[in-house]
Amino acid sequence: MIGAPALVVARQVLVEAGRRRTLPVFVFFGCAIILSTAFLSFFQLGVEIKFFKDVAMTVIFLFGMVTTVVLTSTQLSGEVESRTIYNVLSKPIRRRDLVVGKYLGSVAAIALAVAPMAGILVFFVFTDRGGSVLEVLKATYLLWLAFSVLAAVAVAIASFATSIVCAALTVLAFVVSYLKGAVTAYLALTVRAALAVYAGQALYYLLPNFENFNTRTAVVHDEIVPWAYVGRTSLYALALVALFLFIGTQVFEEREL
Amino acid sequence: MQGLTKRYGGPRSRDKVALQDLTLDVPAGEIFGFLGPNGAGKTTTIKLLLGLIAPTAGTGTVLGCPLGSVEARRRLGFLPESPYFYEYLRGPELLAYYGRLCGLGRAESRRRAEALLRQVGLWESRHLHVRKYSRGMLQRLGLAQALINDPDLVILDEPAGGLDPIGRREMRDALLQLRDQGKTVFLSSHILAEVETVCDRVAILHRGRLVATGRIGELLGGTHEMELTVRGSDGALAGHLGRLPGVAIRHGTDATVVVLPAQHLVYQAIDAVREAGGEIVSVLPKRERLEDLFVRLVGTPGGTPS
Repeated sequence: MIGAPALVVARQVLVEAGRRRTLPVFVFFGCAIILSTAFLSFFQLGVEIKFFKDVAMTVIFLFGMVTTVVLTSTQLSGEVESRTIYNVLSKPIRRRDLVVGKYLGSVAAIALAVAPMAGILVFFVFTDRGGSVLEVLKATYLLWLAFSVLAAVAVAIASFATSIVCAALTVLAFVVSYLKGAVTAYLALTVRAALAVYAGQALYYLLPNFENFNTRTAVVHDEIVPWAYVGRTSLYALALVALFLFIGTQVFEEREL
Repeated sequence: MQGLTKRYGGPRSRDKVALQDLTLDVPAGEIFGFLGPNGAGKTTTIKLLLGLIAPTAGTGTVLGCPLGSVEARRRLGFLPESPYFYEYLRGPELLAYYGRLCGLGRAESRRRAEALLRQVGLWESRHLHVRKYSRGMLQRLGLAQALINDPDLVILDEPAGGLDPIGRREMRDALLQLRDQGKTVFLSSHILAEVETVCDRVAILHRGRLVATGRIGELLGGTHEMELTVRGSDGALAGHLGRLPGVAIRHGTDATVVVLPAQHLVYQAIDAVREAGGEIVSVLPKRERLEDLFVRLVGTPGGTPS
C-alpha cells in the first residue's frame, strides 16, 4: 500500500518542476513549433490540416519523451546525488513512498507539459473542422500513457543508477523497445546460437511495446481508434508501470545511501 | 547500540571496516558528544541510526524502536553535515513539506514552519528561494527542519560547520535550550571546545572503534599540575624558575605561563617570581582539556595515540 507521504512528495516534485526552467522551456518550444506549423498551414495553400496534425503529434511525442527522460532521470538519482535524500529519509517516510511519490509527481508534471501542446492541436482541429477532437484526445492520452511507462522504466533504473546513467539507459531502453521487433527478427535470422535467440525473445516480452501507444497515423487519416483498444492499452500500461515501480521500490529499499 | 559493525566491500575485495563492535548507550535528556577524527565512523554510525545503511552485525534501538524504523524516525530530527535542500523552494515551503512528511496537517506544518523560521532568524528571508541562501542560512534552515516534528531526539552532524562566531553561539544556545526542554541531543562534532562546553557525556571513536565514553568530568579527571600566569622580567624569570624540577615555561606576548609538576612547588615558584621582579596574575590547578584527551586517545594526524 502506498501512503499519504507519496502524495506529499508528488506535489513537491510538481512544484519544483514548474519552477525549474527546463520544463517551461520545453513546453514553450513545443508550443511554438506547433503554432508556427498551424499558421503555415493557414496561410499556404496546399498545406493541409493532415500535415499540421502529423507535425503536432510528432512534436508532442518528441518533446514529451525528452521531458520524461530529463525530468524522471533527475528525480530519484538527483535526490541521492545532491544529498537532499538524507533530510527526506530521516523523516518517517518509507522508501517505497518516496519512489512512488517521485513517479506520480513526474507523471503529473509530464501531463501538464503535454497539455498546452495538445490544447493547441485540439483548438485547430476543432476550428478548422479537421477531424474528430475526441480522436485527438484519445491519441494524446495514449501518448501520455507511453510517457508514463517510460517514466516507470526511468524510476526503476534511477533506483540504482546516477542521473546521467539513468537518462542514457532510459533512452536506450526506449530505442530498443521501439526497435525490438526488428532486433528479434534480425537475431532469429542471423544468429545461430539458440541462447542469443532466446535472449532476444526474452527482451521482446520484457520491454514495453511503445508502438501500442502510437495512434498518430489514425489521427492524421481520421480513423477511429476503438474504445476497447484504448482500454486494453491502458491496462497494458498499468501492468507495465506496476512492474517497473515494483522493481524500482525493491531495489531502492535495499540500496545503501 | 549493541555490537554494531559495518563493513564495506564485496567477497573478493578486502573489507573496509567502517565501524567495529560499537556498544553505546545514550541517556535521555542529555547532550551527548560523538567525537572522532575524519573516517573514524561517526557518519556511518549516524547512517545506521537513521536506517540509511544496514549493519553488518549487531543491533540497536532508537527511542525504544528498531534502528531506522519509521516509528523511530517519527520521533527524531536530523541535521546532516552541510545540509542540502530543494533549491527552488522557499524556506516556509520547504519546512512545511518536511512537516507534511512527518505526518503534520497542512495548517500545523505552516504554523510550525513559521515558528521555527522565526526561531532560527530566517523569517525575514522567507521570500527567497533556498538556492539564494548563504552557507550559514542553510545550516540554520537545517536545524529548523530537524525540529519540525518537535522530536524527542535530535541528531546533529557538525551543526556549527559554516557558521560565524555569532552563529556558533546561537547554535550552542539552541542546543542548551533543547536539553532544557528535555530532548536528547546526539552531537557529532570536530569543534572540541564547543563539545566540552555543552555536552554532558562524550564518546570518542577511532578507526571504527570506541576508545572512550563517559561523563566529561570523569574522562578528563584532574592532574597534580599547577599553572601560574606571570607578567614581567621574562629573562630573569627563566633563570630563577629553571632551578625547580620538571617545570615548563611558555612565553606569550603578554604573559608567561609556568606549569609546575606538583602542588608543593607553588610556593617556591612564587618566591622565584618575586626574586625575578615579576608579577603573578593567576595560580590555577591545571585541568586536562577535551582536546588533550582527544589527542592522547586518537593521536597525531597520522593516527598514532601519543
